[in-house]
Amino acid sequence: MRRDEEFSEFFTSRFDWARRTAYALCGDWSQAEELAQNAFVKAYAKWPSIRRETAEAYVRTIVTRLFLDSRRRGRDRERPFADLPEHGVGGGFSDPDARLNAALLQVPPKQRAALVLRFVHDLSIEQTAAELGCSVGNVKSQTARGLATLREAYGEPVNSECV
Amino acid sequence: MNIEEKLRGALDVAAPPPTTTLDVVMKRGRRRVFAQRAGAVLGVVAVVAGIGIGATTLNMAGPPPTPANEPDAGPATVVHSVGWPRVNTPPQIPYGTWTPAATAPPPDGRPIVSMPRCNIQARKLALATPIGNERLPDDFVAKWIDTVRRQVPEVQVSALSPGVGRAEYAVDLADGGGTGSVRLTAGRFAGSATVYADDSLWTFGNCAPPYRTVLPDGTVIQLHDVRAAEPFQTLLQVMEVYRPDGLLLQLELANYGSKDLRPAAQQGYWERIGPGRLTPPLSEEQFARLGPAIAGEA
Repeated sequence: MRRDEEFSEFFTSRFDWARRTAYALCGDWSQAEELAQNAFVKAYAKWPSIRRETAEAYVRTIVTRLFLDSRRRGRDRERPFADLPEHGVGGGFSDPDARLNAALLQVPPKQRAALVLRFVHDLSIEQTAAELGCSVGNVKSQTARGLATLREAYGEPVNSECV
Repeated sequence: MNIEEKLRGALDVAAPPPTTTLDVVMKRGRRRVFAQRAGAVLGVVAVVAGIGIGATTLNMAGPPPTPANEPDAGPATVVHSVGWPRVNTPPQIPYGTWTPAATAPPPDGRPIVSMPRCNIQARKLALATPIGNERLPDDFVAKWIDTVRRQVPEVQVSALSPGVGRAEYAVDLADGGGTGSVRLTAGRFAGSATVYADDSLWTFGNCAPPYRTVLPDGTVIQLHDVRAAEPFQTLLQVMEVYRPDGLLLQLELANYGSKDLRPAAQQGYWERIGPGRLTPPLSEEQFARLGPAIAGEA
């Protein structure tokens, strides 16, 4: 079946990427696995109507929105922590990444999503607004506030690019 | 390195091996597709069922449809022209709607009436003298014609139409709408007028029970609804007068007159050659006047 063959190829090449994106958002490998899996299940159901060249962006949008939905519903509401965990969950943070990821977790979810899309995935403000389903102005403000929170959590003065 | 640049490497972290397999994702995906399709089907079924239930509810909530052969039934605030109540019995269930035969359709431009059709039920009680077999005295017929002229001065009443040897007596009724007729025939019954009237509730194929009034002397007058018949979409209305002396008078109002008839080859029968007028020559109220008037004729 052509549908399954194409999807299989896409899954093999992009599942780990989706899982890491989810991890950047939620900071937990178990949840990241769940978010990525759910995103690919949704993508499979819609696969006939997804163009291959936009499939990656489609999955990324689903991962981001599933993450924000889970935070809005209060399920698995995260509790930011100031100290690093002694060990990670299913892999956890490893130096030097652990410090940045721990700081990222102290950024509110919407602002964190904006930061991940803008800087981790290097999307434009317009692309980020489209994926988050909000206005360009909202992305700008969320990014600015997210960066401020991240810098404070990271604990060292750093230079900043324009948002 | 600023923090934005640090963020750009956030995906390049050490990660545990993934536990999700393609097989798991595709199984869950197929279940999701099935659920979506089942949901769509159920949604369509629910919408169709909702429309059906809604339509049924609205139909039941609305007033009963007015039969097409009761043109003056009108809203409840209008007094019915006949003024007699209908016999208190359930109506017949229509088996169809009137459709003129292709061999004798109404003339061009005449609209097809929409009338429900119901079974014609034969009398269960035999008449002592069947309708049409009771000859009436000449003076009775003359009085009857006078009565018609007095009761419905709105129309021109002709002299007695030429007969064909049968015990039936007709006059033309004419006004601006054309010429129709009313025909008198008679029979005899032995017994209660009410019982025989009850026995004749459905003998003309009407769906609604007839109007009925009972005079102080015990005469029962029963007026049936207008019905359509062949040929040319003929419109007929019958009124029965059951007198306490056992005489049954039957008046039949028709939308055709003598000029629409000619003697048929078979002795004693008429043949229709013209379609007649668009409507009956008398309204129900006008026609109903003739019943009580003839009831007292000697």
